[in-house]
Amino acid sequence: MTLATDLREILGNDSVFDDVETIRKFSSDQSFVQPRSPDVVAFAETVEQVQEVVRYANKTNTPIVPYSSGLNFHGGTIPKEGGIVLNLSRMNKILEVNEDNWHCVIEPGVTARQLQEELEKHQLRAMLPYGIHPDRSVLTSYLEREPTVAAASFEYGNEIIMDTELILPNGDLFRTGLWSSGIKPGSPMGPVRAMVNRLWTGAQGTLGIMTKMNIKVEYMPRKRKVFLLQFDSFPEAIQPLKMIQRKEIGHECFLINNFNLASMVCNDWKVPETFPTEMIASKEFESLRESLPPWMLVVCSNGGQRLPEGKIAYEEEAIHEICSMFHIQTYSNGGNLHELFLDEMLHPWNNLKKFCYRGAVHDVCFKTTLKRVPEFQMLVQEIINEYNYPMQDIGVTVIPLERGRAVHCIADFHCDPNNHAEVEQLKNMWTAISRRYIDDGALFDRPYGAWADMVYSRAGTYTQKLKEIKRELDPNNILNPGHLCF
Amino acid sequence: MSTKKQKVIQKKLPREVFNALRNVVGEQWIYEQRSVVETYSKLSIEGGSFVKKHDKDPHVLPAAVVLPSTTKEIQAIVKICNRYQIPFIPFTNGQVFCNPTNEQPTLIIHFSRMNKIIRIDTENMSATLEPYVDYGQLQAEAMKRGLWNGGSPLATTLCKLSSQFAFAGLWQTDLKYGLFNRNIISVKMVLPDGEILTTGSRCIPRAGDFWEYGPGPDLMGLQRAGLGTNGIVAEITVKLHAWVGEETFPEIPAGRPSLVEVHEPKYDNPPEPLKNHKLFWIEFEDFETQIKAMREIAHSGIAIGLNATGVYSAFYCSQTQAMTVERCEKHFFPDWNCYVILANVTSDKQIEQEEKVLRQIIGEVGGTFLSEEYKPEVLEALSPWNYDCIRHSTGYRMNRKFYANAWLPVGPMDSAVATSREWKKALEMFGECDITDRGGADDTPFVYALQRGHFCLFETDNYPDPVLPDEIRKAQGFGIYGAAVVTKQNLGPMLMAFVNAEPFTTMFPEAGPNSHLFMRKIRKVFDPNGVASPGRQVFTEEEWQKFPGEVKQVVNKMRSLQDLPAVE
Amino acid sequence: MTYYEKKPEKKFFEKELEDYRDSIWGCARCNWCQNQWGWNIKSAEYSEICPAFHEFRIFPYSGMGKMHMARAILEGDFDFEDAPEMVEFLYKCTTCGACEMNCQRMQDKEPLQVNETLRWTMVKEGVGPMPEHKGLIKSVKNYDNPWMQPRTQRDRWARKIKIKDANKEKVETLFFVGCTSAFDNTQWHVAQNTAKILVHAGVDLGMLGKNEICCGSPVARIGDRETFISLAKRNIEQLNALGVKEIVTFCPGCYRAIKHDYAEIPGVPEINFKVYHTAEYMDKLIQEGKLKMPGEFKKRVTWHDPCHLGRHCGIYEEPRRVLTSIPGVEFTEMERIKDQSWCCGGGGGARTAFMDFAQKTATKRIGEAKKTGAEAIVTACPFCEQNIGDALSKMDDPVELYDLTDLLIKALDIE
Repeated sequence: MTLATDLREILGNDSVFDDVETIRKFSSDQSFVQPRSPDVVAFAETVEQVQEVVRYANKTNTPIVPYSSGLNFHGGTIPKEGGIVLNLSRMNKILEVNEDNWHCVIEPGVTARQLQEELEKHQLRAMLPYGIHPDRSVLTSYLEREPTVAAASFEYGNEIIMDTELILPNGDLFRTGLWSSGIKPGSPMGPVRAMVNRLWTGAQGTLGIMTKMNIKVEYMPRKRKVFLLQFDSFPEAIQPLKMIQRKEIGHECFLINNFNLASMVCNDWKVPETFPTEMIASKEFESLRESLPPWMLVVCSNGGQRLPEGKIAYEEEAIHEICSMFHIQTYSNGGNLHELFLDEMLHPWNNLKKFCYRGAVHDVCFKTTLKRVPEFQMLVQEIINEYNYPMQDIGVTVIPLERGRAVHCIADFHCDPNNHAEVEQLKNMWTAISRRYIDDGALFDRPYGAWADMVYSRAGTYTQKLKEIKRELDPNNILNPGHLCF
Repeated sequence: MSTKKQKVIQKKLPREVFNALRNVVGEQWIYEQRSVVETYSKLSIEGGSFVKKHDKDPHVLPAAVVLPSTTKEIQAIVKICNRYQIPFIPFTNGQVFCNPTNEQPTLIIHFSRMNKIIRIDTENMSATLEPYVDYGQLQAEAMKRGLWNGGSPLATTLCKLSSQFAFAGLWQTDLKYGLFNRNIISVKMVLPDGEILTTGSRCIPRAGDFWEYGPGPDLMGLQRAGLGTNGIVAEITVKLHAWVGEETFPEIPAGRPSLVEVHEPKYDNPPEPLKNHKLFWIEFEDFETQIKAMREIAHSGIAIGLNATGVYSAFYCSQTQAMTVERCEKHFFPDWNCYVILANVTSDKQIEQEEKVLRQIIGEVGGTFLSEEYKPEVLEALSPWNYDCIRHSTGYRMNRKFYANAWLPVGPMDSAVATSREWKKALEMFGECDITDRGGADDTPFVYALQRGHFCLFETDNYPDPVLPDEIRKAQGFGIYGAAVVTKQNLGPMLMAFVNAEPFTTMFPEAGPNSHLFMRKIRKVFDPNGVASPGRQVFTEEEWQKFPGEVKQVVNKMRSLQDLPAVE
Repeated sequence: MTYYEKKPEKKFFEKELEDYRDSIWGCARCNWCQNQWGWNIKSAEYSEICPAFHEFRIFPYSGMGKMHMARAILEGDFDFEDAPEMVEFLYKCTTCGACEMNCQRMQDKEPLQVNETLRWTMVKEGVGPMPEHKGLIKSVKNYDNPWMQPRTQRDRWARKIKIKDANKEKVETLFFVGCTSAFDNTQWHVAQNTAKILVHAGVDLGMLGKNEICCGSPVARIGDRETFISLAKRNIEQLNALGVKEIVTFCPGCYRAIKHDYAEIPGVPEINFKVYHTAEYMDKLIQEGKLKMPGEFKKRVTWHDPCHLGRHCGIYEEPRRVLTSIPGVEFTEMERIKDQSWCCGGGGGARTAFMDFAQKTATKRIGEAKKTGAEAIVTACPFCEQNIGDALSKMDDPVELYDLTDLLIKALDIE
């Protein structure tokens, strides 16, 4: 009996694949992580099937790599030690939309576009992660703590996960939140420590396979207004941004540079479906990059469900006061930028058009405090000079978190994936930047790929305890081995 | 009332342990004298400690109390406990979950010497605290700097933030700022095995203490609500938010009380809330309307706080228990009500705008604002809330008799009605301990609207007489019965008392599922020698087998009342 | 007794521990006995209110600790022999009443009364008070004052003061001097000031001189009820017989004892006169226009509320009105004031038995005063002035210390 035949017994013949084409497809992604092949790719459609596969894997010491959509760009689903890629994309139901209590239960295969379209029918919306691909698994995206478009708002853009259901590495079913004490989900608080679901966030499927997630959703505002404030340099934006956040103006907020702005606006480019993607030369992009302001602060004010104009009015007044205080120009150079961003808040994937620049994007994403961002800007400038990488080819997005307590920074570096020398050069540069950033205290709280060693070697007891927990929960080390510090 | 005059004698630590501890903290900071350990044994709201006092059970007494002043000292103490297999219990105020958990001589580690605010970072809106810092202290210092931590628990501003990390963490402004869960950036824990674990960005050198997650799987969630079983919080960093009120609370015009007239209501009645804040009280005709209105208000996005106080105003706003009881009997305060706190966080036009929204909602759903024209005497009596809504100080008026047992299920707002129905049934089955138990029976549970209406928390409690152990036992029975109710009816895990503590996880194995098995593994990782309040959070299989049969019988009896099968 | 069971009507000085049973069982350990009332906190540094807990950090020193120990003693869980350390816990307390203030406000329980009843129990059983207090009691019994001074010296302070002898002639107002100011020559100025001011205001003032006896407050506070009751009975008889309309005293201990404590003794006659503290009385005279102030006192000052005057008896505004009516005074408040005042450390017998602790407590108060930028602390209590004065004398950068009457004398421009 082979692995594939055993799995076909459990999952059915049309759910298990070990042909070359399929194996190759699941062996790599657009990241720098070394491609490695699984032995089979298997599709589960029910929780019971997932459990059975996990039990089988324990019995036979076969690694499992949980996979939802494979669109995380950081190598999280590349099997380091072969085994089974357990594809959950067929578990794609939105099981419940609760209009009274504003929550929604999703399976791992539910995509961003699917979810948002469904919620819009109920006059609700999900606070989707910034830069999520429309076909990406929302469950996985939240599990990986990807900052949402409204991460700046303490209330609306953070702690989206409520109850969860997952399969532990030994195949046992486990739930967190209200769901754990009964039949239905309905709150993140559970009888087993109040925040236990956090253990599985950022875990890249190494400690359990999540099969359902109950998420908070919000109302669909009837009225919204986007404000665009332009700056010539990042440091100029710091104080105004701080003040906007202290006054809690708007929900969605981010700072993007002209590169990323231009790629969002560029009509020559579309959101790719596969990654890496085809490089598309665009004069329009070059012209936009030239003409758009070096930095744009985007703030979106959402009117309340009732009397929405009133809230937008006082927020607008508050923003104008800040603009006057700091002599900030708002952007009003025509074009459809305001509408573009209004759409982006609900469907935050237009920024993925940036992939069309060279075909592949390798980002360095980290968290720090607002006032340290210029420091990291200068560091990157030092390093790219050594590698002759043009400054203007870096796309930057800075998302304030929880009213400016911290910021999430994404620096994008571009290369032609078919040019091996260029890829190698970029990889070396990317590694050097990552290492230098980590040395200087940038927080890589999701240590994918090469970051894992860099981060965990510094985290002392934290790393040690994680390993001990992994040993207890997954003594056979079958779930995504080789990732993180495991 | 105990008539036995037999003495209760504590077990002492082995001499070498005592001496080793003394070498760590110094002679002055370790005590095993009888009167000292007495003051660390009867807790605030834990019925078990009262019953044990009535029963003259010596196991409620710790063997000794030690007071460290630094993380290093805490670590040294924990290592000694590991070496000699001495159970230890971290102790701040002594509200709940601080009694010894078994019959071994147990060490109390009291943090009263560690009460400094280490730093307030106004730039990144956070504060790093030693374990004995309380909400009032933090608020006072933060408010001077244009920041605050979002409120204070109903168990008052004297709660220490580190113990809220270990236990509960709710406050009046949950609507906007979420539970305490949402407001922790990092903890530096001395783990039960003596290691130091720092969570969040702080665990990465040079990153700074500003972000709560990672790297990778987040361990802070496993530390939270550990009830002293997973280590000791040596430092905690909490989030702060923008504060738009005054730096200090204005004096109440009526003046200050004295011992000759402490019960005059006027001293408790600030005429207004703080600058840039406004408080509204609304009365409803029935519970369903109240919940409907609360949901609408929460969903509308207005306000920083939204709570229905039920019977609690009868406590908090009454200067004596006699006043409380009279007001309950007369239904002086509206049975079905809520208060709403508005604040000018963004703009000085915000309250005006939000008030319009509030009035629109109440106009549609139904309800009456208390005002100068409608029940002004009730509004006047409710005025302690003008200050309590920000810095809660009157909370312990609930404990004039004894506040025992609490049903605090957390779940969707609709569950409030189901909860109060079950509470009524429980009162009919067991009988009330006091008229004020009827907080739930008259459909007046405390309802906190949390997190914009996604879920909320309700509370009903028993108030037995502390000198009557049978009444306390009755209240305890209510509590276990409540665990059966929430399990069977899917009303949500109970936050207090029995959630995150035995007997819930083992005796209600429906929870999770497999929660007790999961928790055993976690316990093994953090506390391999079983010294941190052993058995409080979860029993190992061996501990469970040794458990007294009578307790298992009571639990199974309560389970059967909800048609749940018995546990072995 | 159960919580709602009707309690027998009893006065404080006839209560035993048993009478507090449901209260001490019900102590909720809310910890308000150690901390300043939440609405009044202005800083973390000054958020605590119990001097003993603040210093020693374990619960037996707090009001709550007394309740818990009392419960155990009452129920026989242990006795005094098992816990010889208890005496120190009980007596390292200044009886400032902050615990009872906040507990009454919150819980309606009586930790200070329980403390004093425990002290009484200890005295009864021969376990208390502290050895240092025994001298004090002996002095009171033998000399009618706690200072081991002969009765004949009681009126030495008044040798140059014109004041009527109330033993010989009827007066409207009796100046009850109190023992500390009479026998401590560093405090004489207060007695002298008071007499001068009242006479200047036209008050028909007399005093008992050598015939005055201790009000009994020191022995009441340290738990010797029998001696206290005996003194109280003698005082009531003597004072009632005088036929005065009112008594004025500047010692808050005497003030509280005569005005409130005597009424808590079972089976004694009521007093037939009003009782005023000098701060109250001066305020009244100023309101009535009887004290015009041609002079001034030019300083930035802060007021220290003596515990027995303020927290126990509610006299907060009167001294403040007096201060702010004095030309030249720039008044500033400390953080812990009025009912939340921080004790000077001098009361309850703590200074007699634990001078070190008393002085540390005073030093903290001085630090709090300095933070206001005040040049001087003003108060109106001989114990506060003694204790704070001693602490100031050891400092390199002291602030000044005045009695309220010192400022008035200057402002009134009286010789």
